[in-house]
Amino acid sequence: MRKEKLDCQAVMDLLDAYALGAVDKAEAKEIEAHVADCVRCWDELNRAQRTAALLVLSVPVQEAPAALGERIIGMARDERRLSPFGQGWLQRLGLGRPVAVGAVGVAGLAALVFSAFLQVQMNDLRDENGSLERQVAAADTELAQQQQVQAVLAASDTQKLPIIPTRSSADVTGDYTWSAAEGIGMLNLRDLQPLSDQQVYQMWFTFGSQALPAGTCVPLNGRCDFIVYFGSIRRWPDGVGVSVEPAGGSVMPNKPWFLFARFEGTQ
Amino acid sequence: MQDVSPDEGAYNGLDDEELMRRLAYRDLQAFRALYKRYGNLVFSASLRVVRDTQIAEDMVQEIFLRIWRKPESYLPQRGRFATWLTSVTRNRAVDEVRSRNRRFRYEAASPEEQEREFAGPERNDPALTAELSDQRRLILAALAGIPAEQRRIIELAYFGGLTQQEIADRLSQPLGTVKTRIRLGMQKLRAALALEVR
Repeated sequence: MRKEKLDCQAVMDLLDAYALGAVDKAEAKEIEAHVADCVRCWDELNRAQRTAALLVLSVPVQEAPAALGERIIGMARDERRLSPFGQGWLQRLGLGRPVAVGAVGVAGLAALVFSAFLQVQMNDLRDENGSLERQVAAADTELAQQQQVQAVLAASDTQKLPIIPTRSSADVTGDYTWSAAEGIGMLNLRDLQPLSDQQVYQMWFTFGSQALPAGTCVPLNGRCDFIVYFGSIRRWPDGVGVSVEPAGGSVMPNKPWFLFARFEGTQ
Repeated sequence: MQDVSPDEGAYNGLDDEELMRRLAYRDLQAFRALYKRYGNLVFSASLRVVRDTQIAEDMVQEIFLRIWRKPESYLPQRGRFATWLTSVTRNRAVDEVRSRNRRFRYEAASPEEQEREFAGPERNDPALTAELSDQRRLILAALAGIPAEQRRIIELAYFGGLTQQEIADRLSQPLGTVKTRIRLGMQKLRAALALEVR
């Protein structure tokens, strides 16, 4: 005999149990199928899930061992250092909503999605328990990024913008190369002076008086290489700047700019 | 290399969603701020479910490193970060218990012990931020306001990872009674926490 689908009332009766994780797999499937098409039950489910999530706060809170936090932060720091481009690391702009800007279209979005896919796959490969696995993962990531760099350099719409040093950074050379079709940009800086342990170079896109952080770098052999995926930036920046910031980067740039270049009529 | 900068205080002032956004470009200070804010809660919630300090530490490490590696797995449009994180923690811990078949350890806890675990102190908890501490007081008050049998069944479902049928078997109660108690208990909690779950 064919089983009847659950109606709204039957689903409502099960939503609290579902939110608590107390329904069996078959019931869970039916509920999920129903709420996918039912706004009312979907809203009710969200409320039930928010209620259930608050239950976690009822547990007696204990302080986690101090060494645990240090270990986790240390592992994150190690992964960042093991990332590609020497001590630089993948600069990801996960802005989420894909809004085409100028010539950044379907191809750029596809590049963004593909690069994110690669990153996810490679992150899955990383295993914090062994340095060998970490190095393999870093190598894989580097390979993928180098492929993306090649894609930018080979793209038909590749453009390059020299980075103009300010007076205090007159010896630095660099340029920003990008492909709107690929949705990827690369900021390459050379002859950078070493910074103290408490400082990093931080890259920004500027939109008038506002600045959007795009990554930080500790120079290796005087070099910093930033890769940015800009396929989902909602509007085209008017400039790209580099500032010197405290380790970990800042929310707002420390001005005056260490380096700055303005996009003029380029998109 | 030091990762603590004079700006650490500024990070503590950023909301969860901003800190998560900054993880997208590997901001270690943002990660540190998130851990400082939620590390104790994730540890305690994991410990509550798995009942083993070492496993709970492993859970905390796994959950935070996953956040570090895949910050995009949190979607702000689907709700608050704290709600998402606590759900992830509970679900992961329950999965761990199931995979290790450790459920019986949890169930061996006496009713008195379980009662103590639910009815914690209603004072400020130094291991939580002020906002979480306020929410904790609300949830404890809400839980205290529902009948003990409803509370116990909710506890067995949420922290014990048991289905309604398993709870019925465990407590030797009719399945219908378990279902009703879950529904009534959760309705009362939702009503008491109306502002928090809107």
